[in-house]
Amino acid sequence: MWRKFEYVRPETVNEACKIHFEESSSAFLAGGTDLLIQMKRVSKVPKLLIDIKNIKELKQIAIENGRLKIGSLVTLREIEKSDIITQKFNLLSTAASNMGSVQIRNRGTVGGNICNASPGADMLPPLIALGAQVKITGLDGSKTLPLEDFFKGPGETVLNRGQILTEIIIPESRGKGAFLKYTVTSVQVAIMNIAVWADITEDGFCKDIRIAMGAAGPKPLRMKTTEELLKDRRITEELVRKAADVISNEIQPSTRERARVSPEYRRHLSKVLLIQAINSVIGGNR
Amino acid sequence: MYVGKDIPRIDAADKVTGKAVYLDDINFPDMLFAKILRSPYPHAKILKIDTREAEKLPGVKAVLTHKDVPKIPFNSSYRGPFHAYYPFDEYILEDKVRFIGDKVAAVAAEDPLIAEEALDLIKVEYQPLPAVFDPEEAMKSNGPQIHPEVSSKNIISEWVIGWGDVEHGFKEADYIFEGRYKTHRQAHCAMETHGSIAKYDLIKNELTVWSSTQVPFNVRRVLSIALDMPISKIRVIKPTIGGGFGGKDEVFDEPLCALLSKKAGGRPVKICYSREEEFIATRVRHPAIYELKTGIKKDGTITSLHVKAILDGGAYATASPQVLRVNATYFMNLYRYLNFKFEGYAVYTNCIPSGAIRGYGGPQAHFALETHLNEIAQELGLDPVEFRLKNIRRDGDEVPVYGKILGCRLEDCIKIGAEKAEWHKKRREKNKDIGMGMALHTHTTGPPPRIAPETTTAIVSISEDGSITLISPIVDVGTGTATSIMKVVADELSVPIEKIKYVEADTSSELFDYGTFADRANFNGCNAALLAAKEVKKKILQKAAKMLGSSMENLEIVNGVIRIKSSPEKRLPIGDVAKAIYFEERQPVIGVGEFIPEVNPMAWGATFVKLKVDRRTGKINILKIISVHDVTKAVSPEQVRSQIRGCAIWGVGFSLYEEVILRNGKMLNPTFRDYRICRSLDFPEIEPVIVEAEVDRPELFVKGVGQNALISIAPAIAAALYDAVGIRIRETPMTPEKVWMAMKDKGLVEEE
Repeated sequence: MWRKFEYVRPETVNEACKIHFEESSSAFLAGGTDLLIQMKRVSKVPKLLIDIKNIKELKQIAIENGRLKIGSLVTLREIEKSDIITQKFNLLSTAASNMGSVQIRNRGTVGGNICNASPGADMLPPLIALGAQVKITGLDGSKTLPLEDFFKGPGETVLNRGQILTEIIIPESRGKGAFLKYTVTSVQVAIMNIAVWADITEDGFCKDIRIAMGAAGPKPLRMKTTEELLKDRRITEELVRKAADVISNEIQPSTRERARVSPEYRRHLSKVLLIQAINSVIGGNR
Repeated sequence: MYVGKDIPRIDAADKVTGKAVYLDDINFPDMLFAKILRSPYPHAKILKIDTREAEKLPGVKAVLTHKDVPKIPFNSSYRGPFHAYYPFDEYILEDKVRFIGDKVAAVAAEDPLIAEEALDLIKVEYQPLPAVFDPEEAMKSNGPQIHPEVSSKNIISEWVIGWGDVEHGFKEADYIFEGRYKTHRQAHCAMETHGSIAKYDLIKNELTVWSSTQVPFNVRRVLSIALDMPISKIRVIKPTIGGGFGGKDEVFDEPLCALLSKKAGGRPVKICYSREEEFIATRVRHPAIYELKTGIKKDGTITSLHVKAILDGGAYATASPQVLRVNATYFMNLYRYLNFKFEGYAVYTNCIPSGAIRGYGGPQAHFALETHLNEIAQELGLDPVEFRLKNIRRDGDEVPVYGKILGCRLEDCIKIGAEKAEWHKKRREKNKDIGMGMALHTHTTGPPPRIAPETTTAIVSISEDGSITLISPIVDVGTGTATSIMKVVADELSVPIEKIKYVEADTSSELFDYGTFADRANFNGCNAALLAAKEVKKKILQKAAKMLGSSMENLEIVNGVIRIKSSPEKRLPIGDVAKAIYFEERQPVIGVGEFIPEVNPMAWGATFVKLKVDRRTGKINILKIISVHDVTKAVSPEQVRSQIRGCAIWGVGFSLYEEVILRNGKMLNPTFRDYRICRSLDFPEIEPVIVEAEVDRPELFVKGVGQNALISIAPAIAAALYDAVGIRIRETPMTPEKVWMAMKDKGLVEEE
């Protein structure tokens, strides 16, 4: 339900942080594709919206010292269409291209997708699989932490009042990736999604692998047990099937009523998605 | 001839350029905006309600609770005295709430945000009452009683109908089949949500209401009952509608809006629903439970069909009694049974009220009947097509409620569809996980005159310059009906359609009409306009005969000019004749059409579906739908095809994706994020097929096609699913998880 609110549009990160710190009932507005929907439905809405879209320094995509840096205000459509990203990190552009409709992708930002902390958000598994770090800036400076440590639970992050997510940093690493999303209709939030980033030799030896899944638990999950099973091994059909069994036990499916599918079905889906994703990475190797 | 030809719709330009005026586009300088406080409880008594704080909020102009409204019961769907079996179980506001989303109080304020804020300030003390959400549970005598004053055991309506002796028929049968089938709640999802504006004139005690409605005259009638006002003091105007689908087939907040306007000193008050309100507080498709028992002989003759039906009507009766009665007709009309019995109940629960929605119970009844018959055919090794050709209704059959069947081309629909689908050839080719299925449907064109009165009116006038005005009370809900009605008039008068101006009459015209539902608009509208055109044509031909010194029989009208058939150079433009009638005969040039159908043409059709099942996920991918319809005559073929396509997509949504999910009466998915309707990317290939009949003046028999295609999609999908992977689903929607579960039970699931 809409309520009256105030609106400001600062020009700098520092100014934005200061306003956010001083007004306890305030929220950052980027693309608004999640926030505005929540404001229509939840009766407790922020008194002040801090529109950060004018902060130009948060809109860059760049490679620096081999590392990919994405500003938090970069839109999903820009990620989908960026040459740098489609060439080197196609799982990111694939994930972005599967989100919402073009209109939503033109508005929605990568930072917003992260900070909204939806357990099934499409950008999160590929970023985690790529070993992304996030830079948080507050009134007392900046710090960087792994993205997988950024989430506390559904809709909850480590961000404090007066802090903004400013940048996503993806380290250089050898490998190939895949992103898969399971939905029933088009333009739908993922029922489940998976990202795999792996360094697999020509003859099928897995030197390194990172697997992350969305809508598989209360927050996006890194599937470390499954990774360990596959790492430093030769990938065979049998091993992948075994990994599928492991991942189906490693996920933490929600049992809350609003979840649209049963935990049992979700465990099955995790197997199907893992097998398909690994086959896709290996296929890309050949 | 315009009938049968495609021309641009008269409303097309306004709609694509954004000029069409919808309810929310209407504003008045002193207008107030209203919001409604809704119940968080599925069943509760309101013990105390304190609005003092809300009233103090600057900008608030009127607050209403149950204490401020007349204690007059009504039924929001009431169409007249023939609806004596409709319980009057609603009040504008009451001290009791019966579903989550039920109205508790309303506020009108200077702007919608103030009204919303005021809702927060209303203090309500509820006493929660035991609630019941399952219709079978609700029918047990010892549970919560939702409307004890008008019902016992929560039964809204009971309907038993049939012929012969089903028990005897079972004895004569070689095989007996039984099945239980369940369908779910679906929402209308019209692009435009519900809304109304009311303006109460305190001096004249007159009320004007603008409403996004399919039924202006019904809205006026119910307003008159609920507010205890004379009909003559109420005017209902319908602006352009952004979709109805049955959801706007009854009264919603018009009475509340009127009282708010009255309390606010006569200032106009607007209510527009949010999408969430649209989901939780309007109407849904009746969830239904069917138990079918069929007796059948070795040669495929059906000796008995016994149907037990329970429709979940939700918290208020509204149209449930009618939906129940029509439900029986779907079973009775489609096939010949030696013995037949339908025993049905519509039942109250503490859920969102069920009401009219595209298909009007048809998708539910047909899912049960057609799935059941497909199962029987499969079990007995009969070809479902041949099995049906043996048992379907044919011309001359007499059925209860509707009477004698005439002009039925169901057999052709089946044969044409089977040929297009290459049914006999393709069904033998076994492709892994690909299946084909078929199902039939029947639907009404207007309520059957035996159970509901039918009439509509129209006026056609010719002005002194020869331009033509067609005044019709038919509500074009966006289907193009107005354009079709104009075509009939243009053809009858042999004038270019550009010469005709269409005036959509509001209730102040007193051109009575029941409204747009049951696919009645085109049939009734075209015929009333045709009668009006005939009358005015007679007047001008009479005068022209005098002027040209000829007889009426020797005259013809060609492109707006009257001429003598044998000597076409002797001619008069229609305008000159009209002018002469006005100024020489001193008479108006007007024709009035009153159409009272004796029968309503029943519409028939067949659906063929081809699909592929993903064994890993249970996901169904529909490869093709062939949707065949007996329409007698397509007045506007492309509009008919677009109705078939759009309606088939509804069917896909109903079968696979859409579901209003309630937990203890609370809707868990009241957004388009979570309630999944088909988007353009989800549309399968649909081939609409129109089957026409060779009849004289076919517009007299135009059959409805607005609700039909959806009806037989779900059973056709269920049959194709069985053909593809050998599983039976007897409960809609057929979600991937449900399909996966059924496959898993049979060891058919794959992981890669």
